[in-house]
Amino acid sequence: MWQRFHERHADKPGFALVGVAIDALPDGARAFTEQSGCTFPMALDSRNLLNAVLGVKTVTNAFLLDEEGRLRWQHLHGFRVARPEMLAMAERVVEGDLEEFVASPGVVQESLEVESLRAELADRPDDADYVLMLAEALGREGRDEEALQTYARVLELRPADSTAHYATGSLLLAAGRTDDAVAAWQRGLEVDPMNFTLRKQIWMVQFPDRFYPEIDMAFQVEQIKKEGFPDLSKLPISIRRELGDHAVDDLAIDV
Amino acid sequence: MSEPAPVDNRWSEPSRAPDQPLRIATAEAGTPEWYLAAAVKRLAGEAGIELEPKRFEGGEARRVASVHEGMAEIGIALVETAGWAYRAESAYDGWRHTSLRAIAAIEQTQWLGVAARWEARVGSLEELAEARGLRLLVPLPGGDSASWTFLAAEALAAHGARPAQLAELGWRVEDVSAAGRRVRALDFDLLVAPIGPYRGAQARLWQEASALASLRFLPLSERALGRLESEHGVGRGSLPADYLRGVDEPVPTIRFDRWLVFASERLEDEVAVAVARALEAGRSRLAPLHASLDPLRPLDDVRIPVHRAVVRDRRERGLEARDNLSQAPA
Repeated sequence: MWQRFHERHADKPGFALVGVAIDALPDGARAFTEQSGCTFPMALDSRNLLNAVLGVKTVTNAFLLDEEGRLRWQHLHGFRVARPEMLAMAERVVEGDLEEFVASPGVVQESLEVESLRAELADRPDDADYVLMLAEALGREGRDEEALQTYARVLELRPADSTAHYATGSLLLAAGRTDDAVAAWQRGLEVDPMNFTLRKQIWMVQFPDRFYPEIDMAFQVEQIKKEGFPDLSKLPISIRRELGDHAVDDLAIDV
Repeated sequence: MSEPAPVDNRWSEPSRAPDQPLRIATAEAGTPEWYLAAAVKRLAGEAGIELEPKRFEGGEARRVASVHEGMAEIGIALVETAGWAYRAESAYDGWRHTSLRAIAAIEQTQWLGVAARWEARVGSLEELAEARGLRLLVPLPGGDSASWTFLAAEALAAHGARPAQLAELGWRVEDVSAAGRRVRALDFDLLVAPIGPYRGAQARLWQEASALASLRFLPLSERALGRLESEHGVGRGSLPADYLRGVDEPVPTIRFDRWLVFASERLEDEVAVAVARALEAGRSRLAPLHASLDPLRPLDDVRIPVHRAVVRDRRERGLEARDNLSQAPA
């Protein structure tokens, strides 16, 4: 549908449609783009910066920026151009009718956040919760080196903080330091062996073809069998079911 | 109707010495009040009004009271919270704060989120009273927010299961302050907490919970929503589909749209006007970055009076401005 929208407006002076794929790894986004046949530019947001900057938590969303890069219109969460009413809304916006602006409240300025957190930390420099919030804020602003240093401080204060381990690995991966990223996640697993999310990040880096273009659930089950897992109840329901955990047999959900 | 006399007039004069900075009551970092207080401090500061963030033990109720009692000059609370505090209703039953005056309102939507892990086998809120031995995370008395504690309890009570009753049924009932570690350890069955588009610790809670666990978001019943609306003036809405993982379709619940920046009636006129104008001028900077600020028409339906100087200033500029004095409690 977005491709048809693009084709309808491709010749409109001053208008360009740009897609943004929120995906951790480029291969997944590339495969999706190729399969979809879209001809408009597709950018990759591998670190989910749209979440940080614009409050994007799920797809799909729509934004209109003016020629100076200012956000003029947005519709967060559940903007589906396949729906006639939303398509009509998008058409009106492109024609310059911004009355449909949907203010989606969320965050204030990034620098305001960092400034305020630093002020808070002046009074409580060893508060791991506050240091973690600062690290997250720095990461959202793309200040990766500062974020990494701040996550390291979190881990000094709270070595088992799985959030900090996860984020450290993600930042290192984004910096192209794949081995360091895996090592960071493995350190996280050492102190939090039941953290399935950390485990899955390592698999995704080491076995990317098992996750893109399709997720191979059987592979994950085999990995769990191979590596062992201290408490099966901490695993996703779908994997528990594959492992023969009858406690979840009657759950209707399939995730 | 004339303005009511404060129940407690011990602070009939400004308690702040002339050389003391103005104080804005703020909350723990990462909470929406903290972000909003930081934004108000920034905008007011750029207008030459220095605000010193001041934290109070005792959570939201203490922050609201601090403005009433003259321990802080500016406060931030949900519009509904300020109305309850002014009128001594609902979460503030018996605790009147008649000196509160509205300065401006900032739009920011929040919902009450109620979600059960699929493994808990709870399909609706009506089933809670029949369940045994589950693990509940919910705002409790003594936590940060008197309003959310009250609302969560009322929402559950409307389905026959107050937190205290669930504890009697063998549930492990804990305050949401424990939620971070419990969620990461998948050591919970039911999570009841505000969902807002803010960031920080509270945003992380729902993001982590919905990512780590398979959650079934439970709608509040029509009867419960009607009761909360008629008895407490709480609006209804729906958590939008896809807002979090597991929200596959809109989930009916209660919804709040605005925060109120307020002062006490004792706040000097020039300061009240300066803060209101600073927020008004900052609207263009906040709105595109999500916190939609529209001080030109926010205060007509708030349930506390507007600061007299703000009303006067707007009228002098040809803007419509009600003083809301008819909102005086009986």
